[in-house]
Amino acid sequence: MISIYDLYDMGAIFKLIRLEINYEKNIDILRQINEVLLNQSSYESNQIRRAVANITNLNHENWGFVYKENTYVYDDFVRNKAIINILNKVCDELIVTLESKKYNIAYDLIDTIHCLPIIIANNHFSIPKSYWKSHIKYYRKKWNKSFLKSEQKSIYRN
Amino acid sequence: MNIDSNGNLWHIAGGAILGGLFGGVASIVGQAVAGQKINWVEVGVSAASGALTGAISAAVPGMGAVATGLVHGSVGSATYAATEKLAYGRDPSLAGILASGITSGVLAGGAKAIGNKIAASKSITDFGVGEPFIAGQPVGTIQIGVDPKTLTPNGRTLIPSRLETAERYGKDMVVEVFSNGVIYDGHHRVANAIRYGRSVDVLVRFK
Repeated sequence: MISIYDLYDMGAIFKLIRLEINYEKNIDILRQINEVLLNQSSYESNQIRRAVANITNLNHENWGFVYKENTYVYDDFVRNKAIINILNKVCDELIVTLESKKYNIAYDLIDTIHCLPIIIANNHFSIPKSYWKSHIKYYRKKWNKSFLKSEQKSIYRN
Repeated sequence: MNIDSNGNLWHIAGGAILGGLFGGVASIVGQAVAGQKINWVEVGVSAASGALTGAISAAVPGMGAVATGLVHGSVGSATYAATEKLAYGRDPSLAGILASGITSGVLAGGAKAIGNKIAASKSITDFGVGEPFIAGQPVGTIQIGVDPKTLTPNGRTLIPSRLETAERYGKDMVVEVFSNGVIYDGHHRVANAIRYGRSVDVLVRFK
């Protein structure tokens, strides 16, 4: 299960990936995030940054925050599995794109979704419909017409 | 009860109240000037119409001229029809509905277009907003009320569709920069701040 603070951490991580899209550790970082996202049965504070901190030889200047743990006295969790699924799919798509070294596509993708975790956190754990129009539509038009199509439908089905 | 725990809807309520008051008063003044006895149903319809457009305008401040025209045109038509039916017991005519809609839409859309043009053409000095960004500050420094024109874009292309979302959801968020003033995150927010003549709050995220 992920908390609102994990979403903020993901937002910071996505921005850092965008800052250096061809950084060699980006794929490992995204895999670590996915592992946390897929573990829905447990929760620990700082789990996203802790998972990223497990990666060896990270550039400490940029990634220093993952080595600092916060003490939270209030937590709120993402309970909607469709939201988790979207974040998971986004990381998957980024991993595949980075693995094939298509950095221009990867840059557009991370630029499209870097604010998604913050939007989810600030919107009572939902994705406003306008986000698809203002952000995802641009990426679909440019690179992948079917990107997150079925996930978008599933999120508003309930 | 958790109607508006974050206080996100107060501006909409305020817009509705102001719009309603304006619509009601305008109707009273209009009828008085025309030498008519005040028809309070008409006043009520005008107030409701004003409240609706006020709420919509407050909820979507970045709405373009065409969208503004369409919204006000639709409300104008509906107001005419409701006034005819409820206040005077007459069936509204198609010509009247069209005329009201077109007049309201063109006037509101035109006013919005002119307003946007004026806001976009004004330079920062016209508004007198913000202090210049101070370069070389340590990481973690927050500078409140910075002139957005003194920040440096990093060459990223602005995507027009994102400007409205940035205005709606990120208007009050800090802009993250490198210590030399190059923007790390918040290009669309800075563009909006320049367009609407606002200062921004800046956080030095990296050296």
